Amino acid sequence: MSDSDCIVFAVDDDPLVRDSVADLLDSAGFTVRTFGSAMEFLQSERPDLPACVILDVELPGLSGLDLQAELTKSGVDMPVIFLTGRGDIPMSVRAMKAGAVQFLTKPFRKPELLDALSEALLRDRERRKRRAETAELENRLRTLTPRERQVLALVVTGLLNKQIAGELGTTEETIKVHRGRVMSKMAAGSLAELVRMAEKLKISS
Amino acid sequence: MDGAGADEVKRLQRCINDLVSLFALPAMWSGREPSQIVSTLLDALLRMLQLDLVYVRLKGSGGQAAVEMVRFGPSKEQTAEPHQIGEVFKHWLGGEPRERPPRIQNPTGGRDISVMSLGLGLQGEIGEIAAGSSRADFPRKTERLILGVAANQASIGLQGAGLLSEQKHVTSELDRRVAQRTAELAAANEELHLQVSLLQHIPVAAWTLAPDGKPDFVNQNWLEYTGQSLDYVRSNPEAWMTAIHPEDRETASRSFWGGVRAGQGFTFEARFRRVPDGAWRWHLNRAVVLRDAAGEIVRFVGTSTDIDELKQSQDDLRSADERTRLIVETALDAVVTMNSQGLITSWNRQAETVFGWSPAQAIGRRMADMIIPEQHRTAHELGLSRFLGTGEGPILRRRIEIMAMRRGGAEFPVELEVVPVRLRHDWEFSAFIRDITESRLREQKLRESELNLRQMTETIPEMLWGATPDGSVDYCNTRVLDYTGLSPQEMKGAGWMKMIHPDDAENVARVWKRSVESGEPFYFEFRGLRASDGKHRWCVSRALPLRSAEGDILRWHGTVVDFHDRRQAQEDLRHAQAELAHVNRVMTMGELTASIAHEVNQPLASIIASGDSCTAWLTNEPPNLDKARAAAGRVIQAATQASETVQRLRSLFRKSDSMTTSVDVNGAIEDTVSLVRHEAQRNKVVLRTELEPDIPAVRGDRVQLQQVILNLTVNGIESVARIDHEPRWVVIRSTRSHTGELVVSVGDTGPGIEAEHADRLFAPFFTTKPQGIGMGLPICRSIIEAHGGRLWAAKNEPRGAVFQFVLPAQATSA
Repeated sequence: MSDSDCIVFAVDDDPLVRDSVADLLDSAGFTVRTFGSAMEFLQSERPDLPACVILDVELPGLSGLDLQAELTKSGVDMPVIFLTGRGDIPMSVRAMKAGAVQFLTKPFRKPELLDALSEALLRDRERRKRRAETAELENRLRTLTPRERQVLALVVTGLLNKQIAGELGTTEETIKVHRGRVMSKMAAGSLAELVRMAEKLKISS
Repeated sequence: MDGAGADEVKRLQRCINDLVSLFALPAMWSGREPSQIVSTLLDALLRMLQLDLVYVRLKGSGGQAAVEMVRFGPSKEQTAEPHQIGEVFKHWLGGEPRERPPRIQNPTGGRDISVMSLGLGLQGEIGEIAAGSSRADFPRKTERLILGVAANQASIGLQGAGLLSEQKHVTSELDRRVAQRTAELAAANEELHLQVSLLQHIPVAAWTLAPDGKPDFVNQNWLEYTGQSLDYVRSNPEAWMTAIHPEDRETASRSFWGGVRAGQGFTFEARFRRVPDGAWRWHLNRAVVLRDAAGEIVRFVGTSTDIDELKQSQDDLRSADERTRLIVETALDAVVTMNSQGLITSWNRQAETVFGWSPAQAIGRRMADMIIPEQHRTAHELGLSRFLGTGEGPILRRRIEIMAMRRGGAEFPVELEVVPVRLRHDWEFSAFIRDITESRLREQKLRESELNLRQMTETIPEMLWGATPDGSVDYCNTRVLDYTGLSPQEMKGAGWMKMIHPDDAENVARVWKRSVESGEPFYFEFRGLRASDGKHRWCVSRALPLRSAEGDILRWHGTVVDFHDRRQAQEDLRHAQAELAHVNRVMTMGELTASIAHEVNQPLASIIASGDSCTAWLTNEPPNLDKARAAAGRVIQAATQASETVQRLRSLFRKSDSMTTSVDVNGAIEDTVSLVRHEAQRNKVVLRTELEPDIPAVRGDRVQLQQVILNLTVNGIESVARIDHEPRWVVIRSTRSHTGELVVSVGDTGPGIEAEHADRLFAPFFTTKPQGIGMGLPICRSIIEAHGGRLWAAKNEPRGAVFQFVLPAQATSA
């Protein structure tokens, strides 16, 4: 696998382990950036590319799990692969619940890491794709007038025009016009498509 | 002998003969007429003194007519009648005796003659006698003497002849006085006779002195003895005194002249030089005075007798007597003598003290009654009579112990020696008696204490031995013999080596030799052969030298102790402690599994990853050799790290008895910290070390010391883990105390030690941890104490607890 359009971050306080992991990924064709501590990583500038982070659980100061929480809190939805020298069940459960892609115990084998890495990057790509689609729909949504947004929210609930007119205190004809504009602005080919969009945008009445 | 001496001798001898003749005259005169008496007297004197003339005039008395009679020397013809001679002499006859007789014209012509006259009778009442000689030296002293004696004899004879006509009382008075005078003269004559006859021949120095003290004769013995000549002696009255020792000269001179001037003779002692050998020898110098009939001093006759030996022996005798007396008086022994009748003849002061009788009470009493208890009296009497009969006495001349009796009848033990002393006709017995009541008691006590000591050395349950200063064993008590099964002879000298295990023998011999040479106390642990089971058992022998007041070694005294069982127990204990320590280590490690796993897995992860990447770089087309090489380098680096970690772990898990080496404590701390670093991280505890560089190494067991550090550090981390606030740290410090000891402390910021737990902190099975067994701290303390150190806990500042231990810089091993 050779992904030049993505980047892998590795955080480990043990330079030997850090260098070994980086080199392994390098040899597998990945672009790697390494950090000696969680803080160093948090404060770094990261390129907008599909990426993932390989975290040592037992980092001094802010641990791997703490960093994961910190990233989530700040909306950085990057996939995390944990490495640990001493895996125990409570720790791995906690990590996985928090959305970790994989929890690898040192020493790990190359395929294990690469598999985890592929999945993480795939996930990130999908996440990025999803995030891009949502952003388009939101852009479209922003073109709607407030009245049209009201109509959209009621249309995706399956109400008829007449019912919508009654709800909003206007005529059926007026609703028909609004509905046409919504369909057009949102670039929806069908009502079903519009409903899926509304779902993605978490629009409900 | 010179001529003068020879003449003198002749003269003296003749004089003696003459005196004898004169004394014979009265016997011849008995019953004769006065004229006959006078006639024979004159003949005798003429012959004896070779006179030119001799004249006698008898006063008439008691009815007898006066008689004049004269005789002339053989060379003279009778040229004068007696009355003619009487005329010549009448002027001075009857006067006082003259000191120097007058020299008168010879009435018969020829040369002048010297005349000596003497009165006859006590007051010259009988008549006068006059002798004349033409010799210039007439009358010599001897001639005076003879004349004097003759005059006396004549007086006696004439007196006897005149008895009938004398009145009774006058006669008797005269008789008495004459007899007295006769006796005196006889004595004088006797002395003279003896002295003179002996003078020359006696083996003593003899001499005569003129009345003025001037020596006029000394005998040959004197001359030979003093080396003086007769001329020298005569040259000066005191010339002879040069023979006297200078120290004695003054007293000799005083005695001499005192005696001479008083006309009494003298006696003094002085040392004279014996010329042949130059020795000064004591002489007794004695002079008697010789007087003529008139009481006139004729001369002094004396001797000087060598009394040196006598004096010496007298002195010796005197001092010996004195000494004997003093010894007897002050003797510690009572000294009592007894004669052959069994009566006490002497009784010294000590005898009085011992028996209670004074000398006055004891002397003269029967010995048997005084000091011999009744049961011995018969034996005493029998023994005495047997000795007197046969000369045998079984108890004589040897020391015996017997009972004696004190005044009052009390009996007591004495030491007695009886020595028989032969007197001229009898025996005397000296008894030396010592009261031994006290010494008996002392002896008994001594015997008892000796017995005690002997019994003790033989019965105490210890093995004892002794050796001479050269290290040769000469005594072993029965315990040693029983233990080794060897005989006393077999143990002697170096025989004891037989009991020592061959592997130890050489060292024992070497150490013993060193002690014997240096006098240092001997100490050695060895395996000794116990005879009862034939097994070698651990024994320890100690010995110390017994020294004289001068510090010389007199003997060695030693013990042997079989401490096999104790040693076994000690080893078992040590083993058990090591076992426990191991369990503790394993348990501690168990608690640290997660951290330790991390510590091991970390390098393993690096190795595998780098291995994989290395493979990848090599399989690239073209292979990236630089990167492959770098990866391989990391593999080696990580593998080394892993190996070290495993090594450290293995040593802590190792189950072994202690091993003493030189331990770098800082290194031990760092190794330990590497094992728990992640444990600290996991508990969000900052683990720090502050190690003083260049602290001294200690001797001890590295694993055990690491175990202590590990325990204390883990305890610290766990206590901090229990709190959820800052600060959260554990600090391990090493430093050196001002006394040179090594100090290691492990401080934490945990909750600290609760006051109620402080006392039990180091007690076994005390724990505050849910999973703890409470052996950690007791084991730590026993390890530190086995290293000669101390471990204690204290409050940490600003909070928490601190555990510290000190170790001597050159600690001995556990």
